[in-house]
Amino acid sequence: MNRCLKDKTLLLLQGKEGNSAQRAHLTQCAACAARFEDLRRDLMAISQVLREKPPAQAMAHRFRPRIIRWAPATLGMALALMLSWQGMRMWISSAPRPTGTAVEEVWSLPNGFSSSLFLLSEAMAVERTVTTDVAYDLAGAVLEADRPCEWYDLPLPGRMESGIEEPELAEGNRPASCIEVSQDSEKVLQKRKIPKNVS
Amino acid sequence: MITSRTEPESYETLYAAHSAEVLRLCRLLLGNHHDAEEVAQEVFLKAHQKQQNMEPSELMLWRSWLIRVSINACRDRRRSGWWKWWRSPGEEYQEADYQDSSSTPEQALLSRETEASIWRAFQQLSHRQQEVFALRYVDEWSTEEVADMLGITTGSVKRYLFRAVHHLRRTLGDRR
Repeated sequence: MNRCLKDKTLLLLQGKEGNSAQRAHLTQCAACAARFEDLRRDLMAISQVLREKPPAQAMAHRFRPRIIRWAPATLGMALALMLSWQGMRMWISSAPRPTGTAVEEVWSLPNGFSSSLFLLSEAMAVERTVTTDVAYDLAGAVLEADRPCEWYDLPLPGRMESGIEEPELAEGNRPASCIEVSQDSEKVLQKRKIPKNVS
Repeated sequence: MITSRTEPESYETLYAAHSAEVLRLCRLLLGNHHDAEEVAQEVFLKAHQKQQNMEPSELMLWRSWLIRVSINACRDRRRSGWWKWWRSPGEEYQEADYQDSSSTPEQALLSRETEASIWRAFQQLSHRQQEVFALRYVDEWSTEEVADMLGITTGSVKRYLFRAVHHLRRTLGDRR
């Protein structure tokens, strides 16, 4: 082999690789031998430097400057604050303000509650004492209070439970309507007495 | 230096024998001492856990295992997003006040500036080139062992090695 060795081959020979012809050339060619020696020396020097621990002073400069380091975090925070403030402003401006009518409606609620509670307690009192069909209808009607007038389908005692389907009603079994019941309930409420044997 | 025998070692022996090598490798791959110490601790924690879970009769090639785990841990650290941002690459050695050390004749020839430029040049290499060079010339593993540890072919190892050596020597040549 007369041609000089490539750098790659010299590196292989440095790593105890390469073939015998290349090794033979290395012993014969002074230029290649010198290049090989340079390579060996460089690798030793580099390895030696990299094996050593870098000095402690170097560690102080390992991070980015403080201002640059915190810049994105600060910008993000500022943006988030701005957005939340803007959102708050928009929410406040779009929220409906209470009007006079609305306030009145709000204040009328407790009155409605009290009247409902009264009706409910009356109905419970009636239900405790009344055992007859009429009284039972009366209690149901009182509970229904201001509903539109419909056939009230509470089952009468001792009769079939009302289901989803409307049972065929005989004349005698017809439940009392709201109007009928309300008339009766007025009587009951006025007298506060329950007739003993109403059939 | 290269041990390929099985090593039934206690954790203390293991740590005493390999901690310096693991720390050095991590420092080379990460570029700073603090991160290297953290990663080296993680590696030895894993080694401890591995030892706890091992069968008493089981034998282990601890040195190559530690090196492999160290490389993976350094890769994980380098991949982590905050580290990429927080760490300014190549900055560490620029203003270093290197001490003169003349333990070998080769070292005596190198000035402080040359040493700094070598460190900088090493940091400029690709991660793979750094790994290959560190394992092959700093830790002195064979080409086959490096290929095995990194999971690449010996041809790839030689290619990475050649590029790394070329870059480092050019830096060194510019300094001469």
